[in-house]
Amino acid sequence: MYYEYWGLNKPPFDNVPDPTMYAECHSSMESTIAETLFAIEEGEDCVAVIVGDVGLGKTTSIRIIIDSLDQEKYKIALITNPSTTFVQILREVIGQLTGEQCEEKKKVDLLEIFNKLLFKTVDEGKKILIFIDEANAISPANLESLRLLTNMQCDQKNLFTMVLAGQMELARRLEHPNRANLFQRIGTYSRIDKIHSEDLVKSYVETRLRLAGGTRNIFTDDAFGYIWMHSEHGIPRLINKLCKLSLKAGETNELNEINGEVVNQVGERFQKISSPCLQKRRPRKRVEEKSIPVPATKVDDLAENITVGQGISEVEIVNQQNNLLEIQTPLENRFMMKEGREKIDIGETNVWLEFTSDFIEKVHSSNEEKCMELAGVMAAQTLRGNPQLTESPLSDPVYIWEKIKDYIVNKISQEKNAVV
Amino acid sequence: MDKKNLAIKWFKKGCQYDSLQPNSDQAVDAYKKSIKHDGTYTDAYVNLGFIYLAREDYDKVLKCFQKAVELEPENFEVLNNLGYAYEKVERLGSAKQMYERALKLNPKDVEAMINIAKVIELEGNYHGAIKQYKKAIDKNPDAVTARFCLAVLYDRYDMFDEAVDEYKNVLERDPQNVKSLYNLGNLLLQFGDHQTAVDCLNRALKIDRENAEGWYNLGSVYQNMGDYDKAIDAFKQTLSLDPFQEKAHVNLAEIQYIQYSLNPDGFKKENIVRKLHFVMSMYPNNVNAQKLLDDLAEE
Repeated sequence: MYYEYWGLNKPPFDNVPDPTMYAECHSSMESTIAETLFAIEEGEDCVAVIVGDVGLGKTTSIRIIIDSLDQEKYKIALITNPSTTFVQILREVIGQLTGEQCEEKKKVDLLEIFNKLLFKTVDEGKKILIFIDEANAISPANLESLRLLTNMQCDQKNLFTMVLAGQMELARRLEHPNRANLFQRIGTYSRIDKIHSEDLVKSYVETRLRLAGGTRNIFTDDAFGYIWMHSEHGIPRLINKLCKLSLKAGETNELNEINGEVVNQVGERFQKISSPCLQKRRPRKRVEEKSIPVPATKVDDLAENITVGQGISEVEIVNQQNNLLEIQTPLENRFMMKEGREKIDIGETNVWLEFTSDFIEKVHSSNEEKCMELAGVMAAQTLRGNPQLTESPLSDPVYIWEKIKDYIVNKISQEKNAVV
Repeated sequence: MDKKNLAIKWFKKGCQYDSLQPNSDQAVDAYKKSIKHDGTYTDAYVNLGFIYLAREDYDKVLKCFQKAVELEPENFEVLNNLGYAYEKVERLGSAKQMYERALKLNPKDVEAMINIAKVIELEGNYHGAIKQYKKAIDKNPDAVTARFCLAVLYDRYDMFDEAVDEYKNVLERDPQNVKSLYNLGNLLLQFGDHQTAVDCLNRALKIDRENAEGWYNLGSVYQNMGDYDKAIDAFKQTLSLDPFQEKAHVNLAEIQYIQYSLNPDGFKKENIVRKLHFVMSMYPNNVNAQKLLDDLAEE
């Protein structure tokens, strides 16, 4: 294995949850885990919050927290995508806690079931924990409903703890004055950040190497600048990936150390790669083939005629377009360029350009360079909106874009000259 | 005609509509009429559920599949289908319960095992998902899907060696498995094993010539190898399939810039600038294109 080549006992940079591989220098993650565990095990507040951007370790933290808990003491529900209705969330929570299907439809009945479940669990000497990952996707209305859920506590004891983890949007939502009621119930509020500096990244890398049994410096000093750069300035997941790939490259090339050049090569390579293809999944047709009759070959075979072509008709499109034009407000008379649509020919295809009032305003308030940018963006939008222009494998999108852009630039010049 | 026969008649009509014009309103009406005549006709609920599934109307899918389970609680396939519907509405716990029930009814059901693993994976439980996929593989060592899902899981968690081994296992059993060829090629590129990466990607593209992303990745390997002519060809293939592939445009400009730097007389700077302006108009936040433009402006 590659890590043995480097004299290590185990892989130092795996991106999988492993409590033995904490590096103190990612202090925000470490304190998040410690604080949340405290809130669950000791605290009397019923909400714990974890916020942080993508790739910083929120989900890993949740997993480590769950794995660290004494499973005999808790009943745990984990919701990974709460962008659904409150009723669905509550059904799912109850289903996970009881291990049985819950198909209750009324919110009030579900709340009643949940309430009973809370007391039953306490009687069993356990506590309920609800983890909600990606909590930034919770709608404001559902956030309010979750707050109501936190009312279900008895005076003497905290009956359950809810851990909300999400991106920074969650922080903004919770801190909104309208959410003051919920905010007051938050016991711990932790934020996971990137690793703050190149020096801390160095310390992080060296700590993980040491935890894996390393006794010498493997990365040279100039390597850390590249790790810092290619990890988008301290995203732990990317640091791990870079370091792991660099160690593997070092083993392949029988290197004695990893320098900046190796890290840079690795970083440039993985930036070019797309995500892996996934397995397409679908449910199975239950109906046996024999029960499906042979398809009718003529429409006449069917009892009713099937309408062919269910898309929006051209007339409808024109009507919609007319409606759009009707609601546009006319611009001031000082502008020559009129808002509306204009047809141009690109090769053998007619393309409509849409000059909006916003665009014309921008043209008049922009200098030449900015106008070129505006024309470029408008040409790009037009190109995107007319896929027939690039349908042929031989078509060059840059050439077509430039044609459209030239037309718009010309139009803008006329307008500017007229105003002068 | 008695009600049962009428239900069958409408069900058959629904199948006919569905095969002539998939997921049409006529098919929905026919299945509904079938159910109206015989409320215990599971096949009609299942087929209706599939139409709603295609239309992504998941509440209705749930209703149909739940009814099917109610009518045939011992049928592992309807349980799997209901599990899938729960998964679609993010009710992972309920989905897992359905798959587990299906597995209990049919302990040989590898698909149910894979479904359970998938749910565990979605819950962020990496180790649990690995264990479950391995169980499915133990049950049927030739189950390519389980091996492929396991390989992708490793891949997504950057467990490179394990992922490579599993993709190779899939390809041993199914040499034409295009997705494995692509993913393996991409992994090998990250290792810097360019030649094997090229072999994998070329094998995949022989089977699947219309894959823009595959051509892009092949172009990237050639670019890393410094074989710019082949890289340009591959990126052009990408753009002929997907004219707006952002990275292919930028990489092409990058290569042109390198070639221009090496031989300023042989290449027109304006063409590179034009391409980069195009990229910036399409994708105003592209840092690489902006950097190249700045470099060119500085010259």
